[in-house]
Amino acid sequence: MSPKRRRAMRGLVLAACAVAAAGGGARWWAVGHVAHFTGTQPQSLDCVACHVTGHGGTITDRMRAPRYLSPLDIAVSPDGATMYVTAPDSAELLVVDAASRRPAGRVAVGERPYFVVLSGDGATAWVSDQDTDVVHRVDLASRAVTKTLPSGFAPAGIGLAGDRLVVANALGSDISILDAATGDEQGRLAAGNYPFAVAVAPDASLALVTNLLAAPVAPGEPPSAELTAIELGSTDRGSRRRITRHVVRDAHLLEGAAFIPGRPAALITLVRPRNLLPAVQVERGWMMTGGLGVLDLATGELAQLPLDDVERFYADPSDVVVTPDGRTAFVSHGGVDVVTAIDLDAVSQVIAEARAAGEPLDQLADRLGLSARYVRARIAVGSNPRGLALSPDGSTLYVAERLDDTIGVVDVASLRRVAGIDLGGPRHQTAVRRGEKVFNSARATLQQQFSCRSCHPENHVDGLQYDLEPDGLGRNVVDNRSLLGLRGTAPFKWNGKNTSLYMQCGIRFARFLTRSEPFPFDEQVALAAFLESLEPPRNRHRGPGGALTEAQQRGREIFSRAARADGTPIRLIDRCSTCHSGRLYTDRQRHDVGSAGSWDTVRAFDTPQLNNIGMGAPYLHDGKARTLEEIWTVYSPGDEHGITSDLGKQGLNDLIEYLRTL
Amino acid sequence: VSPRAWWKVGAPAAAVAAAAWAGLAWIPSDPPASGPVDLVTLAPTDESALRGAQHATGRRWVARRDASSGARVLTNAFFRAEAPSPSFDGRWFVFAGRREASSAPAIHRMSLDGSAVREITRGAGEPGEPIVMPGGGIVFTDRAEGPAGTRALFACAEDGSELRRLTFGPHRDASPALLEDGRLRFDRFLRDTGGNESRLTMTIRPDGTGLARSLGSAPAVAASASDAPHGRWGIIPASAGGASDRRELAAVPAAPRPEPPVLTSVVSAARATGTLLCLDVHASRLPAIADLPRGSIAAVKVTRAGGEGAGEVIAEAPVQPDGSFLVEVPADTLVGLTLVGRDGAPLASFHSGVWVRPNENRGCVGCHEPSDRAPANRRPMAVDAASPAYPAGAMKVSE
Repeated sequence: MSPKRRRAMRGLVLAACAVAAAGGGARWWAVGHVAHFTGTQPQSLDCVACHVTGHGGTITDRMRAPRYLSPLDIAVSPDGATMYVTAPDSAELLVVDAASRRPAGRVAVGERPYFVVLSGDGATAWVSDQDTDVVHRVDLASRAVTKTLPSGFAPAGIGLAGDRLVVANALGSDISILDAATGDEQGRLAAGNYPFAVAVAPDASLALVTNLLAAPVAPGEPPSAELTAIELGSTDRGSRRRITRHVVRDAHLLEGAAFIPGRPAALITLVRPRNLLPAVQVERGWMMTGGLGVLDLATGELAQLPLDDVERFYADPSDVVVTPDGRTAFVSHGGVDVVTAIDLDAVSQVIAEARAAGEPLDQLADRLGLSARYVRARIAVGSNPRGLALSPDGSTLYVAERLDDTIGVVDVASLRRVAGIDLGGPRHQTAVRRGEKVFNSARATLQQQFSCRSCHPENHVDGLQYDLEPDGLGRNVVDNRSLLGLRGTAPFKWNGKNTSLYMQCGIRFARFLTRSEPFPFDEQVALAAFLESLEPPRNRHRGPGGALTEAQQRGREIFSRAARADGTPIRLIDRCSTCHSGRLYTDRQRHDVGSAGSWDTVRAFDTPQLNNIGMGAPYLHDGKARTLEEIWTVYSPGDEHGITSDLGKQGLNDLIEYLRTL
Repeated sequence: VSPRAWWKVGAPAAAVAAAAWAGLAWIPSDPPASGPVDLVTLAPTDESALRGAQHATGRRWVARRDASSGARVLTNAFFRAEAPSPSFDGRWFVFAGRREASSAPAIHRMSLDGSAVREITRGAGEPGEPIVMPGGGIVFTDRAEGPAGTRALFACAEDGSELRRLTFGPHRDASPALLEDGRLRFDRFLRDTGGNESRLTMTIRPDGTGLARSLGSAPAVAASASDAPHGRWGIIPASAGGASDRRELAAVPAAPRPEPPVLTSVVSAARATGTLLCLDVHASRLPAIADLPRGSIAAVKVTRAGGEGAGEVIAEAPVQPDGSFLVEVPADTLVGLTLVGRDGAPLASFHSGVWVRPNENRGCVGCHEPSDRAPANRRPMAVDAASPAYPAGAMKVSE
């Protein structure tokens, strides 16, 4: 071989080595890069998955920015000819022709229309608007908003009782009684925690308001939610109304409510959590079960019956409606894309037998086998069914298939979905939308017992504490945390061990929580995109333009102060603004604030972000502080959690007033 | 070399290479069935006279039955082949078989057209009743340690590696079936001292954890002949490929079907024990327990159940005032439980046996509680009573 050729060969070999080394190095770097950002071993070195389809959606997602409809609540006109459907994501009230089963128009309504109710003559609709704290009155002939009626914070359910509106103000935890014509607020009544749906008796004498969340309880106590019953009485301003607070024992997530025509009874949907048990399994309803509450209006007795089967669960019971003959109820299950048909005669029989046997009626829901006696059918419907409505003659059931942007049409006689009405939502499914479907589906849980939403209703938090298995039974009970405003707050978990959402929702999540199959990587990417898209609601404690009250301004100074009232300097580490720093008010580090209990195996916990902290009760890593005040008055007696002992009641109130504005 | 020469040599070579590539791409290793196909287990029609051991060792064949072309025996190279279980993509199946009357039985894999036969495992010597598991792997029954006739469920990877036992105790476990939720159902035959057998139908997760009585409501997927939804009797004529007429014992459809979830596992070899957490011993459908006054049960004793050393107390824990107990027990050991009164006298015993896998924390609502009962939402006192130094259920499982 000539020297020239030999040099050429040597060059080729060196070049090949260089390419191989560069390739190997690039791969080594990529493996580390993916592991760093996902916190997991790379399941696939797919640049596109994260850099193009992740973090809020694909490039085409961002270019198109489709606006989904996400139909939530349905009202049917008295003549059965027209449906009115709230579309919170497109800020519209959709008009659907029932006969042709086609969309017949859209009415722009506020910013986030949630629930809808119609007048008796079908001429007017009232629509609650979650974002702007008002109820819109819509003239259905002209299809225009004719008046806005101020309500409380984040109105959800709405009912019409004669000439009055009963409005459940979710974030205000109260109920507005409004004059339907003038909007004059006749009363503001305290509700339970996060009032959600409203049902009004046919004679308009009584309104039932479900409350989504349980009232905060002492550590180790079982949570129970409230069903608020309001005897509406006189329409006179200031007249007394009798309110009965039914404690729905061992249950929360009360979403739907309906009166049973012809019977002195009403139905609600509920979930029975098992958060006090060490989460060692899913089988047999160990994590949670769904239920139907049956309220006897004469006695106030509330029976709870199971909606699940023994080895198959129907996650996230949502709305409930009853046929005009009072014999059949329908419940939507958002987590499993099913509507359950229930024989109410059989329900009455089961309750009568249990009463005769002396069984506690509110514990019947733990006998999962009972459902076989009254469940007539499980009807497969579209994705994430929520609101239900019956035609006036009871022959047709309409189902808001929220994540398909469709209305399912169910024939009540055959108990089958016979048609779907396409409401005209975008065809393109963004990563965020796909992630929302993953989030709302119980498919990834053993026996489909629960979805992500089951613990994070309204993408927020259920306010409960859980004893997860890996760190020992009875150890490290941790408070659930909100998903709103999650972006940029890594690491996750109270012990700060999960550096990414991929890790948080990864294989350990499947091994110790869902007990089924981990999410495929593409679903994890979509789920992360959805979670990072969740924005906290508008903070109602801030004044116009973000202005602070005097008390809030004093609280802000306390939050960032460097000296006590007597001038003694406060160490940097003891100042609120040191750990709760930055835009999200977290340094994303772990700190020991003296909150650990005898059963905690770690002392330092992840610093929580403070955005909308006012709606995040309970507090501290194990949820033992039921209010913001208790963080310092009960659980920081020695100034372990910042320096507050010198503040006095007024100073602490100021600090809390400021915290609520964050 | 001229371009013309390149063309003369290169073009045919490229054409051959393209054809070869296309052919390879076109012909999958396990071609799928083109229409409805059943896998049928056949037996000689004259076998009805055989009894006992003869019946268990007689000839069997696995045949493929197409709607259009009828039945065709796939296992003529085997003396006995039975219990076919198709893969979820409908391209291949596993079965139990022996090539000669005197050869050892094994679990085999075969394409649906009868090609690509491969032995997967000989297990402990008598493997049978294989089923294909979601995510790969095979579950089968086999001879197990214990008195004669003891059989257990085993699992292995698709290539026969990672052989592991899933069920425990000196009993005969049979008829595994895959449930739609990813768990396994099987029959457990218990023998009394007189040699009589009684049957319990149980469920486990695919790693052997979560042993429970089958509640009967979870549907099974048709993964083996024992679950065939339309197995039927009939006569397969000799023209189908055999020396004589054969009768059909069972059939299972081989069409592609949804794959149940691959359930995760907490089993870890790093720990030799597991825990039993009972929420309330008084929650029982047995009056002998349910009627015991609260506070009368002082402790629970865990004994070895069945086999050598039966009755030996291997763990003990107090029963708390709320009826809960938490006890750590050796893994992979069939254990019985005895409730003990304040005076130390036994109040009730359960000998049918349960086990925990290494690192498993097993929860029970009660002791023989009603089978449809979900637990009450109460923090069991047993988890608070355990010493903080005691690492109850503490585990470290690698990712």
